[in-house]
Parts: sequence; structure tokens; C-alpha cells
Amino acid sequence: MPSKTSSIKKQIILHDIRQGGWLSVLYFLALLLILPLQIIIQYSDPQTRKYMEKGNLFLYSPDLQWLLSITVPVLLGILLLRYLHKKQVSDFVHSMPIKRVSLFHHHLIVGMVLLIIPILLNGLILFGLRAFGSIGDYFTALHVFAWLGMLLFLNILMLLATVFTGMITGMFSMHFILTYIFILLPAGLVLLVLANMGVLFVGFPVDYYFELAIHKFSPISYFFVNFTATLNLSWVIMSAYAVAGILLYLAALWLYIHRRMEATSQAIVYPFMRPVFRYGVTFCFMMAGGFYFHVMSSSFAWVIFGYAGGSLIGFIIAEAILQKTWRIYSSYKSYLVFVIFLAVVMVATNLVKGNYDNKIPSADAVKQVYFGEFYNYTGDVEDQSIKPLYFTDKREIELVQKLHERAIETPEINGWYEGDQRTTFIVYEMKNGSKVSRSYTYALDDDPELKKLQYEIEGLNAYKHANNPVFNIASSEVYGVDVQPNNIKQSSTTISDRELIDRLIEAVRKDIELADPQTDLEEVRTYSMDLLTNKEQGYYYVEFDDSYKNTISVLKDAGLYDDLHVYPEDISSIKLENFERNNTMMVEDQEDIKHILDHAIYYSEEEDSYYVTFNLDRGRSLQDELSIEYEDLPESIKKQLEE
Amino acid sequence: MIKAVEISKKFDRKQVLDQVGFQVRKGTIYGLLGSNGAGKTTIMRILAGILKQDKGSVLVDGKSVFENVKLKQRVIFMPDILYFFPQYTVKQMGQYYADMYDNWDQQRYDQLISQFKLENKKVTTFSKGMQRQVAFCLALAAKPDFLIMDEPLDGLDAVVRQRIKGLLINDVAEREMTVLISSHNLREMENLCDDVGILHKGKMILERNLDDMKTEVQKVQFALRKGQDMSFLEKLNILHQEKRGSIHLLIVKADLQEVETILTAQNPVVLDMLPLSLEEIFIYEMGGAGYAIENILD
Repeated sequence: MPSKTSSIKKQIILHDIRQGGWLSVLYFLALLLILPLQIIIQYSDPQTRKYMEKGNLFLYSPDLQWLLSITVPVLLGILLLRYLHKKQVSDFVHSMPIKRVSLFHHHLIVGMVLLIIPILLNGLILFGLRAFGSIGDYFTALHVFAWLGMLLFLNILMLLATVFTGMITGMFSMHFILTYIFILLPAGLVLLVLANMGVLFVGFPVDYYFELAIHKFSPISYFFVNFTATLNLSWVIMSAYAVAGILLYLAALWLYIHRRMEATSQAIVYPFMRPVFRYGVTFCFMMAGGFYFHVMSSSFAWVIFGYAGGSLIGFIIAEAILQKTWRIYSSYKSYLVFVIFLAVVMVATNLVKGNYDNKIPSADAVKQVYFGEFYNYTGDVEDQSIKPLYFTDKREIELVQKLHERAIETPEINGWYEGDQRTTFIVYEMKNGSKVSRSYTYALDDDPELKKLQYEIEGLNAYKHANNPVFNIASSEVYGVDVQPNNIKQSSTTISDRELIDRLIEAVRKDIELADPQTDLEEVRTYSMDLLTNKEQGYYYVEFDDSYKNTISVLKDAGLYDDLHVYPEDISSIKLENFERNNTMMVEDQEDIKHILDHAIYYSEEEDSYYVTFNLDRGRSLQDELSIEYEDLPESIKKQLEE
Repeated sequence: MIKAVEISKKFDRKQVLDQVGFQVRKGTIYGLLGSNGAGKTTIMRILAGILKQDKGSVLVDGKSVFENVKLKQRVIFMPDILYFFPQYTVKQMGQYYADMYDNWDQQRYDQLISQFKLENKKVTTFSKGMQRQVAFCLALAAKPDFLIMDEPLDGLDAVVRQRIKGLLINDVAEREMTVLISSHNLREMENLCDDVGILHKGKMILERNLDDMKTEVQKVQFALRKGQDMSFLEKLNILHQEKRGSIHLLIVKADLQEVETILTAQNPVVLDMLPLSLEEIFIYEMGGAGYAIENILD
């Protein structure tokens, strides 16, 4: 008997539209507000028009565009697949004479159309807008196409992911949660694993792997980063997402065909996926728990506690969801399985750990070694003024190795540490092409040997050249230098004389090379210069003090030094204040002024210290920034204060 | 014809159906009896193509139902808890069915709706009984060859129940519709079904043709004169016997003619052939197991 009706079921489409059409309409309106209307409003007011930028359509509330794109398709998918998550509806629909493949495509296509229409309509409106006056100057037709492409791509990808998770779960409420867990999982898992590698292995360079750009692993984070005025999409990533989309479609279809309808209202429909869910959640909670306690305290016992507690909580949550009850005592065996698995992993980790922690490649095998505070493996540094530092000289490589050796021995600093500390990133690039990278954060004060090595490296010209901007810009690129004293005096001189600029830069370079890394700049009486350039960065900042002999000499020759330096004679009076004690006094004696000037420091937390405000003929120092400790005060003033 | 052969089904680890087999002949009504949780609904969901059995085969007209659109065109499943799309009116539900079922008869639908005096309102706002009537109208207007109904007469008042039974019997007679109906109420099935099967804990424990049964078992009461020889009773296959004063009550497995002949020959003072309910037959015929059935069927 041939079928009278076609395989396209009008009523299913109609029903889907009744379910999700309203969302489509709201979506249209929301996009209308965000884009065409916002553009019209900005354009129609001359005030705001001035600030309108020309460029692509992600200049307009990109966050909202992103937020809509990651929520609307998910909500729509949930609405359209709700029939799968309630027994009565599921039975009703699946008793109808229609194949699951056909049902699947009905819903998927209606879902896509409901997403495409609002986006496409807004695209058309945007095209239409271009026809009106000079609105068209602000964005091109290509921008509209790019916007359409991006939005449709993300929306359809999100819908496919939602359809996929809809097939996995039999519960309406789980569908929502599972969808986001699923989409964020690749990025989240990598993040958690890396963070925990950092906890377990000494010197594991977590940041090095963060440079892999974990945000690429989830479309949610990837598009959040990329909905920007400068579309900077990687075709590799986009192709990967496209392939993922196709795979999600195929997987969802396969799962639907094989879905057992009696599992409707189960959290996870397919029995083989339940252990994956159970142990996946347990594992993630475990890692999150361990990492949390690692951050909160540096004791490894707490980390173990975090692992145990986290995994137990994760297991209970997963099991409660699967069984839909909190009474899950009887499944303690499954948790034991996890604990045993974990014990095996821990033992294995420990076997590898010693090898990893203590690995320092032999100097002969190293081609070059990177040394710095952080590592940027793409070389795509925004701040061009700091160059990556590579040591190739064997003596220098060995120096780094010695420091590395000490760093392994030195306990890692976690969290707040008051005192001299360093974060050091070491990447050995081996002759065979492989890399060994480690990162350590340590205190210098507890280990004289480490301190010595650190300063020795920092004293190398190569180190200074790499880490000081002034070495990394051609002086010809600097068109001016602003020189100003910090803290007390307020004056600023702009040097634009070519010859003077060159001399000044040369002098600063020489002084930096001469400077001993162990001696800090003077506390209060420092100066700074801004090297003005036409580069994106704008200017480069250099701080110096009277120990920069060559620089000071150049400034003296140019007659600029007196404007920078604070002489006691410049100061007419000093105000000393201690708010705790409600004590204030003015100092006018020249001797005392000189003494205070020599002993003033930056903001002190000592209770008996005094805030120092210098009153100068030209301006005064900023309040609440400079202090003097009580014992550094001149005796005469101490006496007066005590009265 | 519906034919289920040794179907088994597990939900997770729980065995819901264990090698169940039965047949529903074309143009007959088959009553599937059993208490809650016996597996009736599962059988029906398998027959409706919603679930797939783990083992065994379910054939409707010799073919498997699962994902068989052509066959599902001819099968309608009416679940115990009815579902209608929220916001859908009686008419809209009709449109949905019309789109789905090729044999849809709009004229019949309109006629049935008016016969039941159903207004064109949102179906979900109706009372349970009225919703059940809408479901019947939808099912019958789709003119299925196979109608599978799970506890369809529950919660209906006697008048409506009678009317629906009438419609069912009518379609069975006119179009040779094959009906599978489940119930936990034996009495309700008595004058509706041709065959019954009793399902208990996932197993089919008994299957019978009701007409055969009724002619096979007789209930009779008689009184003889005092001191009369009772040895003739040995000739009869007695399922149950009791005595109230001088009146003997017998449940005998034999056909009516035979019982009457034997008893008349004794010249009884009183001889009455009494009507037997289905329930009684089950209970008496099955002895110990019969009482189990009584428990099964509340």
C-alpha cells in the first residue's frame, strides 16, 4: 500500500514551531536591538556618531552576541527534544508511524531554520541599512557576510551539540547541564589535568601549556575570545569544529536509532556511558578538590584531603544523579573501584615523579636554553620591548643548570610571600629537537647559593639586554623622551633633540649594563623616563636613580638635572602625620628636612611610622605614599613628637 | 494476526518479560490480564514499536513492528496514561493524526466527536474520562487494523464504558479489527474478550479461549432424596464440591449436555444449572493456582 502522505510531516513541523517559534522571535528581536537598532541609534545622534568605529559587526555588544549564540541554540534544542525526556510524550511520538531517522531530521531541520531565520533577517536588515546614507561607511557587505557566517556557524554547532547530549540523557533537567558540561569538557579537562600536574610535579610549567591556548578546545571560550573587532580565526580550529559538528550529527543520529525508550527519564540513557559519567564526574571533582586545597595551603596532606574529599563528593553527585536518589550506600563498591584505580595511578605517578622532578638535561645535549620569568612559545608577544632570552654559550647554559638544580631543592612558594622572590621559566631546547621545560617560583632570601646564581644570571648583559626595553628599541625609533622625578617633585621635561635623545639612551644602556642586580634603586628619590615612540605600545618606561652615573651626567650637561633632583633647599616644610596617634607636626628646620629626605621610604605598615608630605616651592609630594619609620626620625623631632 | 514468540525484555538488570508468547487471531479481542508490574504495558509498548524486545519475536501480520512505518500505519497504541500535546484542541489533535495515519477518516472522527458530545476545546483541560473518549475517537478514526489498549476502561463511567465497548465490538465485527486489551479486572473482560492470557511477574501463566472455557466448566446445584446413592459422582470430573443442607453444589468440568444427562438420571428433587463467572472458572479450574490468580486480579 503506497503511502498517501509525503515523508515530510507538516504536523511535526507545526508542533516544533509551536514549541520553539517564540524563542526564534525573541532571538530576532534581541539581535535587532543589539545590531541594527544600536547602529541606527548611535548613528542618528551626532554625539555618539563621533565615537562610532568603522569595522566589523562584533564592535557592537560582542558579549551579548556571544551570550545569545551559546544559549539560544541550547534552549531551542532542549525545547525541540523535550519529547525524548518524558515517558508519555516519548511513547506517544514513537508509537506514531514515522521512523526515528525522519523524526530526527524533522526536529533538527526545524531547529536550524528557527535559528537561521532570525540571524538571516538581521543580516538582511543590516544590508538594507547600508543603503541609507553614510551608515554604509561604518561596515561593509563583507562584514555582514562575516558576521552571518560566524553567528550561523556557532549557533548550528551549539544546536548539534545540544541534539547530541539530548540523545544521551533521558532527563529534561540533565539535558541542560549535560550540554554545557559536554561543550566545556575538552577545555575544562585539559585545564584541570594541567593544573594538577603542576600540583604533583615539581617544576611542571603549567603556564607553558596554558600557552597552548586552552580556550580553543571549547567553542564557548573560543568564540568568546574571537567575537572581536579584529576577527582572528584560525582555519584549523574552525575546520576542527566543523568536523566535530558533523561527527556530533552522525553520533546523535546513531544514538537515536539505537536509543532504548524504556530508559527515558534516566539521567544517562545508554548503560555503557554511565560508568563514563560516574567516573568522569568523580575524576573532575577530585582534581578540582586537590587543586583547590593546593591553592589554599601548601601542605601536600591537604592536597590529598582535597583529592579524597573531591572525589567522594563527585562520586556521590554522579551516583545520585544516575540513581535519582541520595540513598546510594549500596554503590560504595563502585567508589572502591575508583579508589583502587586512583591508587594505581598515584603509584605510577610516583614512579615517574622522581625522574621528572630531578631531570636536568646534560649541557652537551642542549642546543640553547630559554631563561625568563615567563615563556611565550608562540613568540607572539604583545610587548615587543622584552625579547625572549636564549643562552647558547656552554658556560651560561651550565649556570642555568646550576640554578635549576638549586631551584629543584628549594621549596615552591605558593601564594603570598613577602621578600625577594622569583618565578623562573627554563626551556632547554635540545640538539635532537625536543624540549624540556620547567618553571619554579622560589624565595631568594632562604638560600644564599640560589641567590648568588640568580644574581649572576641577572648580571649577565644578555639577561639585561633581553629584559630591558631600552635595549630592544632602536634609538632612531624614539622621537622624544619625557624625564620626570618620581614621588616628590612634580616636573616633567620633554627632550626632543635628536642628538640628546641618542646620548641619553646610550647612557642609560651603559648604566643598566653596569648596574649590580643586587642593589635596588633608591627607595624614594628615583626618576623615570618615558621613551616616546610611534609604535603600538606608545612609550617605554625606564626608572633610574643617582647611581646611573652616565645618565645623570648627560642630564647634568643638558641642564636638566636640577629640575629632577630634590635638594633639601627645594623643600620649604615637611608635614609628619600619624593618624593612629592623631599626631601631626610641621618640620621647617633645614637639618631635619635633609635627614627626613634621606630616610623617607615608601608607604610603611609600621604603626609608629609617620606619613611624610613634602611641601615644595613647586608642588608637593602625594599624600599617604611616603613614610618614615619612627626610629629614623631626627632625635629632636622624636622629642617634640613625644610631648 | 499478532504473534509474540518467547519475548524477553530486561530493564537494566530487572527481568520484565520472560519468554512470553501468545497469539491474537485476526478479528478477535484478546485480554491481557495481570496485576500491576506484571509486564502488560511492556508487551504493549513492544507491540506498538516503542520498545524493542531483547529476545524472541513480535510479529504483526508476519512482520516486525519496530521502525516499520508501513505496519505502524495500521497499529494504534493507546497507553494507560494518555498523552495529548498541551494547547492542542480536539480538532488539532485530529489534524495531527490525519497527517500521521494514511487511513484517517475525518468524517468518522467528526461523527464520533459529536456522538460523545465533545466540545472543540483544549484536550488537556478535559476530565480524565473525556480525554479517554477523545483517545478512542482518534484511535477509531485512524481505522487501525490493530488496536492495542492499555487499561482503556479505567476511570470511565458505566454508560461510556458500554458505548465504547459497543464501538469496539462493532469495528471488530465490521472491519475485522484485531484488538489487544489489557486489564487487571477480570470481570470487565468477561463479555468482551475472545481469549485471555494471564501474565504474572513477566511470565504468561495461562492462556484460554473464553467460549471454550464456559462450555467446558459447569456449575450445578441439586438435591436428592435422603439416602440416595452418590456413587454416580465418580463419573464426573469435579473441580469443586460443597453441601448446604440438602443442596449439593458442584463445579464440574464437562459439557452441559453430559452433566445434565447424568444428573437427570438420578431424578433429583432440585436441579439448577447456574451461570459461572470467568473468575470462578479460573479459581475452580486451577485449584491452588486459582487462588493465586484471585490475588493477582485484585
